[in-house]
Amino acid sequence: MTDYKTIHGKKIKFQTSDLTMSTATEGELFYSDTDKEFKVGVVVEAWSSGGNMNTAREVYEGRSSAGTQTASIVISGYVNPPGNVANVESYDGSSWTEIADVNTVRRGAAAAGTSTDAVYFGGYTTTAVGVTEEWNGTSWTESGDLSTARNDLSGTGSTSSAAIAVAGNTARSAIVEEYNGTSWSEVNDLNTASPNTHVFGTAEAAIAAGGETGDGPTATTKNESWDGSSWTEVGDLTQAKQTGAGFGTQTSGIIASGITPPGSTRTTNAQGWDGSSWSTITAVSTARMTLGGSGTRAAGLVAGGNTGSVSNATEEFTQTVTLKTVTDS
Amino acid sequence: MALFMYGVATNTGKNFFTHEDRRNFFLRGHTGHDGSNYVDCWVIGYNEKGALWLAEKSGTEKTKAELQALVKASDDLARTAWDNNNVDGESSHDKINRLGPKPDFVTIP
Repeated sequence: MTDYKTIHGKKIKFQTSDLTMSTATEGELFYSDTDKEFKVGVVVEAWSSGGNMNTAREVYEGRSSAGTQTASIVISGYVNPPGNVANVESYDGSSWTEIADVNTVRRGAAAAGTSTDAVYFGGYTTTAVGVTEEWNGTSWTESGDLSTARNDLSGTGSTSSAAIAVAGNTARSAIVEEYNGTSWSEVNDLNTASPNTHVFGTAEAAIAAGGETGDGPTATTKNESWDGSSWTEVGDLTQAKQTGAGFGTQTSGIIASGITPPGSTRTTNAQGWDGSSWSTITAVSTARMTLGGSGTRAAGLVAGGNTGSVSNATEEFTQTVTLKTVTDS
Repeated sequence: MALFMYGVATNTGKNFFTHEDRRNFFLRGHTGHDGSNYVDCWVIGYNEKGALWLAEKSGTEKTKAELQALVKASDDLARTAWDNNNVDGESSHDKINRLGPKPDFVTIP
């Protein structure tokens, strides 16, 4: 009979007490002398409800892309009717607090940075705009406009001085611009024009997954990776979608909810990215579109959006490693 | 045997549903409208823990048809709002660019 050492090249650890579990110990098998059982660390992922936002709205990409599950902001947005929302809110892991409004009220804009150091750009007022505003944790200050005014764009970046603005409308666009804290400059386009794509990572290493390919409820499975100078097509999504939320890094991320053709049906589908391929993961509880997301693959959140009406709901995604006893059946 | 039960319960925010709840039973939320207000509609896995969760959240159980009617009422409002939101001379492309695609109907499981 083949034994464990023959397959894996090492013996199973003998422990007098349980190992401390973390994502680094996923799959680690050991024998617990205390319990006289074989045990293994198994990743458990789940969504739970977070605090409700004060103002329900469609967030689009107006979120702190480098925010965390316990320190995030959502910026401006839309309620139909009455229209664009100026309101900005900050999340501390349990509740949302209103903070200073943006100067130019708009929707369909994108943002990058953290909850205290962010940049908010583009969007739609009564037309597409290139307006850029920086947040320093206290107030908003206008900065240099995007070279190409557009809405339904996406963005990511770790600070207010290192961000990328990806794709967008009014004419369906593959344009990508890079921000240095003062001005925007055009860099290499996406291979496929896809407004409402899901972008996460940094200004130097990012993913742009899915997005819109035509008017109305269209979407693509295409997925592109950014290395700071060019975009390369990498593993496709398991299901085409647009207008969902994305968060994480170039090698480890999540996209959640959004709309999936045919039709503009809102989906609870969530997918995880491991740096080479996407897989379907545990679904969000409430299907919605135009929601914001921030955080990491291990601890993220989604908030707001449109569920048929505007939503103030937050869901928190958490990945933990728990011990399971190995049985023979 | 039924796979799901149906109910309405106001999402109160943090810990309204937990990781453990999501592991214990299926849960999917939709927005509904009861003729006066928006209501939070839930499709819940039909087991003891799902039923206890709805009771603990002071929820009201509904039939599938009742919950579908609430969700459809909300969808009707969203679609009507989209139809009525127009700008003179605006093309179909421009309207979709401004508002996003027309909301679709949700069919609950």
